Amino acid sequence: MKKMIEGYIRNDGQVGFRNHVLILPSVLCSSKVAEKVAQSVPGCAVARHNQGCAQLGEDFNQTRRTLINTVMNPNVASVLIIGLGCERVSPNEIRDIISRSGKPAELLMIQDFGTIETIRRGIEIAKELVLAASVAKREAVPMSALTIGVECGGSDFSSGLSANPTVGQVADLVWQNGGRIILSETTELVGAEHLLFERMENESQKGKFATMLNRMINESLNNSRDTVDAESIPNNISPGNVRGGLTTLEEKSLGAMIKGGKVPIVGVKEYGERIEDRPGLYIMDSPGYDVESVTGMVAGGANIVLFTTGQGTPTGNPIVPVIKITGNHATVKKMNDNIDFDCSAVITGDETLEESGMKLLQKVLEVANGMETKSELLGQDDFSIWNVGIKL
Amino acid sequence: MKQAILLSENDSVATLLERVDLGETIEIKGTGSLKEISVRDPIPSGHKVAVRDIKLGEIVIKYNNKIGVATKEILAGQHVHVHNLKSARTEYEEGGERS
Repeated sequence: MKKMIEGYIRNDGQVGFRNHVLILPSVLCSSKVAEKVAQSVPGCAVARHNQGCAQLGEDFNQTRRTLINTVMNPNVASVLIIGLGCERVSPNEIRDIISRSGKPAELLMIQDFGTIETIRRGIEIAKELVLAASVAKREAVPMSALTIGVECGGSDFSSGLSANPTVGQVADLVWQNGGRIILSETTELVGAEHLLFERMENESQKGKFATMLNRMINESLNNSRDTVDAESIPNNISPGNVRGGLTTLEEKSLGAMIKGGKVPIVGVKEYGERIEDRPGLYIMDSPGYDVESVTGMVAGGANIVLFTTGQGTPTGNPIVPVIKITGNHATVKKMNDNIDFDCSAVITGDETLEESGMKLLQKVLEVANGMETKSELLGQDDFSIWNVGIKL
Repeated sequence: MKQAILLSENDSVATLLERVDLGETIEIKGTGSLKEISVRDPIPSGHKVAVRDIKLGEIVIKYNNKIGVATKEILAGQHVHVHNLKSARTEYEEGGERS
């Protein structure tokens, strides 16, 4: 297998496998203008979102951190921030932090110019940023440049039998070659936490993970709207999961955590927090809500996402290729335009998990080298920041 | 013969790869000494079948780990799902839509 891959080496040494100019709204109010600028200049990605103002405390910190770290993802070449002017998130502060890192960052405020002139100036700036980014060259990098976010959504019986263990094989191989894996979805680790605690290095990691689990369970229990639909953590089994044959949260979680393979856990991170360079598995706090979970891992530094889906889903990300994997052959037939990798042969016994893992790793390397995923081809630029507080 | 996968020798349930009807005999693939079982319920594809008798209140095992507690007496060959298995987590009450 060809193990050398080519990526874009950034100023800070991080390696990207895409070379996007990101148009980033600082707040919901500037999202539409940001979208119009991005649509006008091919080569731009946009991260529309609903946050950025009327937020407090840790909820605000989380939004700020996620926005900054999304821009710092090595798949982003440069950024144009579109601010409104009166929002809680400071577009100037974000621009300054990004500029200091050496990554080109530009800023426009709608309250300086109005919509039309902001779009016009935005197009001018975006055009120059795309031109400058277009001369970047891919260079040979080792497999240790891979930071893989692992996600599952629309799970059914096949996820735990085939797709998740296939991703686990790739996680092991990437780690053996010096790479990093991010496993998120705290709600979908409840019921399997004893197995994760065993893999942690020290008490500090265990303490952080315990805090994370308890916070999620308690917030679910204390939700004042709980009586409306009686949703709480044990019911993090969707009607589709139940139709597909999954009965309890423990069952879903045990099947989900296999995505992290046997990789030792070397860090426990808050949502959207940057992971370290050290090879290994990082656990990140996030909801099981797919787009928010992927958004958090991308802010954490994932440059490729492996997304298993028994029942199929179209979602992607604005800056990181999302490879969609299923073990359910019926889903491959129904949703061929959404699925990148079929591992149903593991279930029929026509392929071993090891064989399936090697094939998926090959796919990962091809995508790293520039092959587009189905979600990229269809323009699925889903981005949503996990909101953990009330809006004022 | 239709098949079900048993993921570990200790598991009390296997996962069916096709829809089966009451009375059908299916092959158990994977680990363990049990090779065949006759099913006592019609069971949808991807759902679980008990590979041995499970008592009321007994822990149900899949992936060599507990996935919940039996809320009824379950016989080998019966469908195991929301009607006879619930989460063993005690920090919350179950509720909401589960079907």
